[in-house]
Amino acid sequence: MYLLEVRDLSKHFGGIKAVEEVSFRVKEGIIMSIIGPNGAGKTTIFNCLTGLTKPTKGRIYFSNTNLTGLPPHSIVRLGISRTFQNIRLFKEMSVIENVMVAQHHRTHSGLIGSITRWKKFRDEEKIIKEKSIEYLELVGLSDYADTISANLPYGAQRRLEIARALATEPSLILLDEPTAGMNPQETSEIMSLIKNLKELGKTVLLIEHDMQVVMGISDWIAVLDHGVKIAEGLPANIRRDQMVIEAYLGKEH
Amino acid sequence: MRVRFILIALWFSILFLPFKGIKAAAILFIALSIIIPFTNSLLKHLKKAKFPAIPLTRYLLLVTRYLLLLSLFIFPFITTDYFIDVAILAGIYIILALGLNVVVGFAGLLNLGFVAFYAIGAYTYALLNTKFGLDFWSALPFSIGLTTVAGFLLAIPALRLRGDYLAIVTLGFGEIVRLILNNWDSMTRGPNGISGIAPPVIMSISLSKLSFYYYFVLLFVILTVFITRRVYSSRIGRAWVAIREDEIASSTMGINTTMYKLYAFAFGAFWAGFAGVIFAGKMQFVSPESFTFMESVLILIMVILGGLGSIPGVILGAIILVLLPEILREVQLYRMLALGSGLVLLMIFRPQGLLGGKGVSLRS
Amino acid sequence: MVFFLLKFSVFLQQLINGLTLGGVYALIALGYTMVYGILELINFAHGEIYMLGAYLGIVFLGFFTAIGLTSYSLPLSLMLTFLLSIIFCSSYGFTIEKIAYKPLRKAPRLSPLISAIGVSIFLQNYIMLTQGATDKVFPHLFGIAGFEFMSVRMTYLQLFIILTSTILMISLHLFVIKTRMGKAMRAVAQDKTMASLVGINIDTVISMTFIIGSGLAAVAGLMVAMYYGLVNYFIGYIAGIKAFTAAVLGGIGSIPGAMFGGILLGLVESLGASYISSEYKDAYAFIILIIILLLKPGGLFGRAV
Repeated sequence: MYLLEVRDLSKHFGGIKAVEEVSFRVKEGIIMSIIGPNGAGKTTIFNCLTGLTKPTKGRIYFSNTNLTGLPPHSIVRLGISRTFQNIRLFKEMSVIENVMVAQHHRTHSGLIGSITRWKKFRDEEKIIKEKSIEYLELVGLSDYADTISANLPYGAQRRLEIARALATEPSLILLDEPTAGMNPQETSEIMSLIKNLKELGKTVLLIEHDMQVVMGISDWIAVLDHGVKIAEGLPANIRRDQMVIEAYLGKEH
Repeated sequence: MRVRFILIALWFSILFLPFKGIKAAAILFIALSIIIPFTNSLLKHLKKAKFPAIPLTRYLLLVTRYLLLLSLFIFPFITTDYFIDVAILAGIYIILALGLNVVVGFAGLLNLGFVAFYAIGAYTYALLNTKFGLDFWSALPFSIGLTTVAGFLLAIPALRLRGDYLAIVTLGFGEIVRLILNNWDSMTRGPNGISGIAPPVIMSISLSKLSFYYYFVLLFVILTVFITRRVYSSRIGRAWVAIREDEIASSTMGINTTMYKLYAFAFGAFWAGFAGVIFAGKMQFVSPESFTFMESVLILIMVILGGLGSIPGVILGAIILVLLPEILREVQLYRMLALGSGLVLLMIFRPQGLLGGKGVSLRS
Repeated sequence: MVFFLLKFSVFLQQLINGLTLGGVYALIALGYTMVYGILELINFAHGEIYMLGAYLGIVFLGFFTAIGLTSYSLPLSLMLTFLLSIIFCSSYGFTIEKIAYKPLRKAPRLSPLISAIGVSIFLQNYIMLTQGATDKVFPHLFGIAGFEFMSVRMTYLQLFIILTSTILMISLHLFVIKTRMGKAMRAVAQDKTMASLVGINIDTVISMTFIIGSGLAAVAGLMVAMYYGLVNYFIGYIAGIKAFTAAVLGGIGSIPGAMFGGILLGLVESLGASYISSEYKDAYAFIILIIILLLKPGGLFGRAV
């Protein structure tokens, strides 16, 4: 039932306690948001979850597997993937290639296959390509398949990142500020996209600053401030929570 | 504006003064006073007119490709031995550059000691042949195998390092290999080198004749291009490009970056060893002199000049850098000077090389 | 007993040699470490500045001898030679930074490194073309005049080198700690953005770093020319690698580290050459370098990389 379990997660950088004893659980199939003022440690948690940073203390369980300290590529294999706050696309690759790369760990062709191009290789490449187009269609970018990703407009780049994260076939997707810098039109498109992900059976963990998004699609919210979890619960309750309101002025649209 | 140029010219002339005397410095001053404003306005004009990416339409590309292939095949019949020699050299360097291209252009690892693998391949064949009588074809798998293993072994510790440190460690490795080759007299005959290496034999025809060797090398170059192209546009190649573009993102997309960087290193070493064996078979002689740091730099320039990651670019880069010294035989002395300054200019003005950069993508 | 004393005096002798060599390495290493601390760039061309210092020494001394100044007053001649070499080398360092490194400040990390390699190649051949490919001789001024103590011999030249290195190192240390510019340099090394926000002119600080580093290298080059009497256009490459090793040994980016690393390397090389094998003398530096980078890239004193 609980896809992800974080227990007493702490991350210290020298003297700075970026994350301090944070615990929460994520039920399978929900959309959960992590909110909090800037510098609250949200992205650090994502980095710990995906293996980019090693936690100082605490443990992370994913489908009952302890993934604390595993390297990033192993964690992806277990079924977690993410997008980044400042968009880290493979800039000089085309849109479809970005998505194709993400299927790397689900495919197997090696050196010999690439050189001989035997049937196994060709079939696999075909499947990779077809799946990639499917993912692109999901985010509405299939017309741009051959565009160099660096040339995409900002909103499209964010959607590409989501398609790429999807292509790793995760059960849990971490989205780091997916609507940052977007206008209301683009924001609502992303919101429906995220809801779509939920319908596809994915569990979504979201870092967001836009309160309309957070309140609009979250099933559950955790609030962080200065590395510590100060509140957790249903959106309606969080909205009224005194500590949360004190911690920062939410953006009302 | 003009005063600034005169002052710059003066500055350089004064810096030059102690080394060549007053007369030379004065000449330099005058020369610079003319050249500097000239290049300045030239640059201004060039900045406005951006160099368009060479418009290679599909058709043009196809025709050029076949024309080139044709001329490659009839080459030895239409030129002298001298040019065949140059062509063989170019072929060997193409293989080397393609190998380094994977390491630098794809995985983004600066290997400044690449020549060490070249040397290991060459010397292994030399030793196996002169000391144990193995012929080319029997020695080939051993040499290449040994070189690839060396590539793995160097990569395992080295890959934990950051880019510039990795560069220095590989540089050190290259130099240590050269020092060993130079000093281990009992095994490698030191600076005297090993001579009397037998050229390859195909169907009891010894390939000592130059034009035979040319076709031999041509075949291998074609093979190299074929294989590297196929690997580049495959899952492995995509992983490499992803690592080069953004290592962190690629690791979070499921790529075991350490393992793939290892692969890249070993793959590059493989080709270097291959080139080394071909080199030894052609020269029939090897010595540490051919495997200096400058060689590593030369191959690196070929890759950068041609455009990191671009196969036709790298081939072009190799050809240019082999041909240029031959064409500019007259000003041979200034070759290194040009190389050094060329490198600086390349990094500042066109780091993506001739054919590389934006828009280089891989197609299955 | 005599045997022990003999062994000990050999050791002491090598110690002196090592300290002499070490002082020189330390001076060059400082240039590497300071530039790396500020720009995170391995200044490949720094060894060539050292080589320029040596050549300039020969040129200027030759000039002063030709106009009769040397026979009039050797110390004056030498002092002017030093001064001019330092000024010229600093100018070269300054110019190189402006031409080959400054335009690449925003480029990916490997670009300035490759550019530095280009500069290094350029300078080596520049000297080869203008000064000849054969070794050049530095006039023997000091001979082997020296003094003895505890049955070891130290030449005046060695004393001079050790003293000069020490004085320069102490001066640099004080400069970096006490003066405004020194503090600015430390600030820029720690956090460039912050430093510029508090009003420090980054360009000036960077230029200053190159100027000082090059000046120290010039002194090192000159002293080595005096010590060995022979220079060629390739000494920069070898000394550069060794000095870089010293800088890494002490922790790249750390000024005291570079000093320590230089002296340590000098000692290791002298002792190694005398006790193990002098043929592979140059290899020691490479080997140490690789081992350190693989095991403890932060060096003995430095920050973790």
